[in-house]
Amino acid sequence: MATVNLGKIKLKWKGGWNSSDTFTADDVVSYTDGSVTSSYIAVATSTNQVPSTGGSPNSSYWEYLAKGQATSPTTTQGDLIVRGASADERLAIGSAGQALKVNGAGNGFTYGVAGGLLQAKQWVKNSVISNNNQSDSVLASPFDGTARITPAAAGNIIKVSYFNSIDHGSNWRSNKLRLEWSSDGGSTYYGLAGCCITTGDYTSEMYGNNGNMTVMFNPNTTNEVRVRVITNGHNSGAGNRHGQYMNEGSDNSVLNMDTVNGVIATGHAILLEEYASAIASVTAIA
Amino acid sequence: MDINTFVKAYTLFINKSGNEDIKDTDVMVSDIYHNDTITESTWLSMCEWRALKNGIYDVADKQSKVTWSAIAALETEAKAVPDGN
Repeated sequence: MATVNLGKIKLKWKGGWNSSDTFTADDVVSYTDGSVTSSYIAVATSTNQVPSTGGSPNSSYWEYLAKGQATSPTTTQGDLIVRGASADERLAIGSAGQALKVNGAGNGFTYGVAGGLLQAKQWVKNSVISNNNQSDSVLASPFDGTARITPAAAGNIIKVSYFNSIDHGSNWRSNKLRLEWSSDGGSTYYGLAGCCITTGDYTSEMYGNNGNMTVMFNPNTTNEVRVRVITNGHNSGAGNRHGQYMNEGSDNSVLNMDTVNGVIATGHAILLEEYASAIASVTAIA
Repeated sequence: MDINTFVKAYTLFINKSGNEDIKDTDVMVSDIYHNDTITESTWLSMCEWRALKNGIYDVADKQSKVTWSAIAALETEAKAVPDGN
């Protein structure tokens, strides 16, 4: 009687694939390729032929019967899934204030300081302040502590940039300017930086002078930080037109700033910036 | 009046006899209307007040005896004061 080979008349479950067994067509196995467990059906007889590698089936001997889904590599709140060299991987969250950026090798991601400048706030005074006090005096707003910034983290560095052009009367000699800061709402101020605007020779007056200060400091707090300006004019010739840079001489009357296309070009302003402690530092030398 | 005259009038005012209690006060005037003019209707919005505290003329409230009329009364006298500074 003739024998007709029908082959397998149903799929044959062989359990987990192993390298020592011989599999024939229509055998079905499970196999974990990386982190993905799938079922495979044999399409040819084989021994020690892994069903798939790197997500690609060994199609000379095996095809997917049902492809599995990778289990999530995440374990902790804030984890991200990123592709590693051959499979998805977990990327743990970074520290507060850090940003996600490309790693040094250029083939993945890492958390770290990005940029470093965290915030910048500027106050511009669009009018001239008249005052010629010859004692330490808190300058008018916004130079009276109105300029404020709140650091995101203790240890971050605050940078202050301040400029002021000062006109004067008929006996211009010099004017002191001093920056101070407070982190307790203005009850206690600490010295920061100072400068003196001077003609050098009061008998050869220079009509209008400019003071610039750029300085960084570490308030070591997350409290709001206020910065103010102290002015103090020479007792025989104080500045008395703060923010006035017009080159009109000593007539002691002009209070204008230039206006260009309807916009005032100010003569005094203060800028506060916060830098991450990872990229900024202040060194004081006795 | 112009701001320079106002500042000089204020100085005359605080140095007048009877005003010893406000001798150590000061004013900062911002020309916020950009016309070098200060008037009874604008002076409170243009002025910031300072008082001597711990060696610094610090932010302070306006003293009640500092009035527009008291300062304006000294305008003519103030105009005769040389700028000096």
